[in-house]
Parts: sequence; structure tokens; C-alpha cells
Amino acid sequence: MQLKYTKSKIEFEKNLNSLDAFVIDFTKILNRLGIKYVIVSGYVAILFGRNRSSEDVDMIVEKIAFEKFKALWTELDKKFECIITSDVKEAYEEYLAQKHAIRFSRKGEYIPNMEIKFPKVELDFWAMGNKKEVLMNENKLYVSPIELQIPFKLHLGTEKDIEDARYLYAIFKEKMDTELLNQFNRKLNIIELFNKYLK
Amino acid sequence: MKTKIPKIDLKELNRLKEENFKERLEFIDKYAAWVKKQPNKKWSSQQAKLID
Repeated sequence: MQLKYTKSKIEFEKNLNSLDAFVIDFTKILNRLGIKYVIVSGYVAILFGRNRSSEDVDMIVEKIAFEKFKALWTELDKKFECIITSDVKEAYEEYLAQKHAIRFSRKGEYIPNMEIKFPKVELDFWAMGNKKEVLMNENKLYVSPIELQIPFKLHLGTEKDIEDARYLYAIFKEKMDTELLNQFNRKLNIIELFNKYLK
Repeated sequence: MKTKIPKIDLKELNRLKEENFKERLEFIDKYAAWVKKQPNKKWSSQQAKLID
């Protein structure tokens, strides 16, 4: 695997799959509108080669005002649709503002879909503030730092999550900030799981 | 007539589940090691075939 890895950026080229294309098309719009976001799900492992698919991609979006959300909705509406509600006001007031997620798929489809939500807990804000820029075939997107992704996946604890964590660790263990990883392992109380399944 | 079900040893089943999971994790290591050695075009073409 060839990639350029720095503290703030990962740059690489790959043959894109349909999930990559979906994520690129969606994040292009957020990038263009200057809306901050971070991708936090299993897609991060898939992005870097994990061989599985996913019905959805999880994204935390900065808490924007309704007017900005309406502008985002208008842009997204050209190629995507919200599969939770067709009303922009309801999407904002009854879902996002109430800390519930909404989902967007390509028009006429249902999966894959992008699940977006506002930050809820300190960890969400930290992920957004420390997001990693990824340049995939020169397409820019932002993902949660690997040093948080791995322990958080172990915290989630399903077999699929542990496998994702194992994969990310195998790919990035020589490159990532081990001290930061250890700090999150301690904070998320998963040192035992880490030692059992990853080391 | 009621169908007779086999004896079920939950401890054994759990042990097999853990063993199977361990094998899957070992496979992930092998796969990640392979990905790290390959040109990006090669591993990502295979991934695209699976996902698409």
C-alpha cells in the first residue's frame, strides 16, 4: 500500500468502488459549502482497504444554523434525497436539532446512505477538531483520527467492529501516534480488549 | 410427530464461535499484510469487485 501519511493528512490513490464514489459525491458538496464534518464509521476501514461493504456511512456535521442547513439541503437535493423526511424544516428542527440523525441516499435509491448528525458528546467535538484530511485520488474528505477510531471500534465491541479495529491497527500501527492511541485506550477502558484482539 | 432436536452444548458452541472469530482475526492480519505489500491499484481493484 502506498500512501503519504502526516499528522494532519493521508494522501493516496486507489481504484474507487461505488461506496467511495458515493462518499466523494456527498463530501464534495459539504466541502464546496465550507461545512465542517468528520466521517466516523466503518467506512474509515473500508476506505483503506477493508474488504466489506456497508449500507451506510456515519458522519458528524458541525452544528449549523437553519439557513445554512437549508442551503446544504438545496444543493444535496440535486443528486440526493433525505430518506427520513422530505421537509427541510422538520429535518432540522425535529431531527438534527433534537440530536437525531437524518439520512441521505442518491435519488431513487436507499442504500448506501449517509447518516448525518450534529455533535453530541465531547468525543464528537474532539474528532471534528482533530479530523484527518484524506486526499483520495485528489478528492478531499475528512475522517476521524485513526488513534480514536481504533479504540472506539473496540468500545463498540461487535465482532465486525473488532475486525475493523484489527485491520486499521495492522495497516497504521507503524505510522500513527501510539501515545495518543494509548491515551484513548485508557480513557475508553478497552486496554484488555486491545491486548486480547489487537496486540 | 414432534421433531427431535440434537443435544446442544452451549459451552462448546461458544468455544467454536470464539475459535472462528480468532481465525477471522488472523485472516485479517494476513490480508492487511498482503494489502501493505501490493500496489494500490491491485488491492483496490479487488475491493471494488467485492463491494460493487
